[in-house]
Amino acid sequence: MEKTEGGASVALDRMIQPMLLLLILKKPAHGYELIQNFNAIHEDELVEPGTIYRNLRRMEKDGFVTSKWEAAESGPARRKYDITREGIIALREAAGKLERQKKQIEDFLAEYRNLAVEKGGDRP
Amino acid sequence: MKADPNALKILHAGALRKPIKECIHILWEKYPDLKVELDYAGSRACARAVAEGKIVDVIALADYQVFNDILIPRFVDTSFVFATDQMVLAFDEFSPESNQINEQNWMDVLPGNPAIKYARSDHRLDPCGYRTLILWQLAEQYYGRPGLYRELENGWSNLYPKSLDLAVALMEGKIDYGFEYLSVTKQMNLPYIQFPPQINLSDPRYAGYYARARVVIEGNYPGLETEILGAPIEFAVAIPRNSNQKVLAQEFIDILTGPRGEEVLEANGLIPC
Repeated sequence: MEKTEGGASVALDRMIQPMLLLLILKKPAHGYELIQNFNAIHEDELVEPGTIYRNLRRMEKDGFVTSKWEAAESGPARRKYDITREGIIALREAAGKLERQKKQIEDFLAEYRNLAVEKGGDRP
Repeated sequence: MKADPNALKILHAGALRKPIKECIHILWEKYPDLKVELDYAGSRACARAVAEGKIVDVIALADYQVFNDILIPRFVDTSFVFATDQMVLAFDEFSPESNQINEQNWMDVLPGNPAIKYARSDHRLDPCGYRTLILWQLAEQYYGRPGLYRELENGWSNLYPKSLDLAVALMEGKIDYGFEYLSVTKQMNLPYIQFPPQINLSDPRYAGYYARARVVIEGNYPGLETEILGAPIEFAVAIPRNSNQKVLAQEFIDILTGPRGEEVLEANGLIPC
């Protein structure tokens, strides 16, 4: 877990929590809907429903999201999640960390490509 | 036995037996003298009992659709989804072929083998029963095995009123394999085979795919059939309109759906949601 300046934390080693926070920021939603949307974005890496529900509960405990029961017109009531101020801060810091990681990867790839051109052929 | 008018009356799906009892123990921490009357059956049987006049304060079922089909709006206003699960194939270490069977070959091992007794619960009484029929239909499509549904449906040896009875029958050696909820299987420490998410009814991502399968439940009179479409498993709870203990019932539901209830559900193999 990565500590943020405000003491909030978000799991950055995996994208699940930042992705869920981003989806909830776009539109407050039920876990059921979030699973459908999450997996539509990450088609090549299917995340189990239990993992998403557990992360939602963890984020609620950490204060990043709140939930309340909301009844559908013809269906049952489900827990609907909304993002909190703490959640928005955590998401901003997660995005900052990803930016830094992206730059590190880009720098690494640029250096690798330069070296490959310099050395020519099949090295490195 | 005469019912106590002050007791909290809870009627629930058999699959929820253990977590409901554990949540009552949490409620007893606050109300140590509270009398609780607990009754359970297959979810459709539970709902029919309420529709026929049984008075309870909390009703917790294995499928929110049962509320919609039988109880809403006349007996219940809204149901609350609180947990999910998945279908698995449970067995016993002494079941024939138990050291050979796996996720890839179960559909070859079970049907047509007179040495193997496999069972399901009754689709007219219990969602685990119609979910089994839905799983078999989806398996026929998923594995590209025309006729698999009919083969499986023609070959079962026993039919039980609820999923819990299936698990008990497995433990007692009356059957060798049972199509069961993962939660009940874990509660009974039974070995099991998991099915892929495309057919195990666990994943909202496949809701559209699940809905290709359907089961018709015969009614008491012609024309009263109920059609059930495949859907992700969702357990739901409600307070019936004629409850005499609405405040206590709400306290119980707050426990079941709150942090301590979530721990109980998780420990019993369900996924709180």
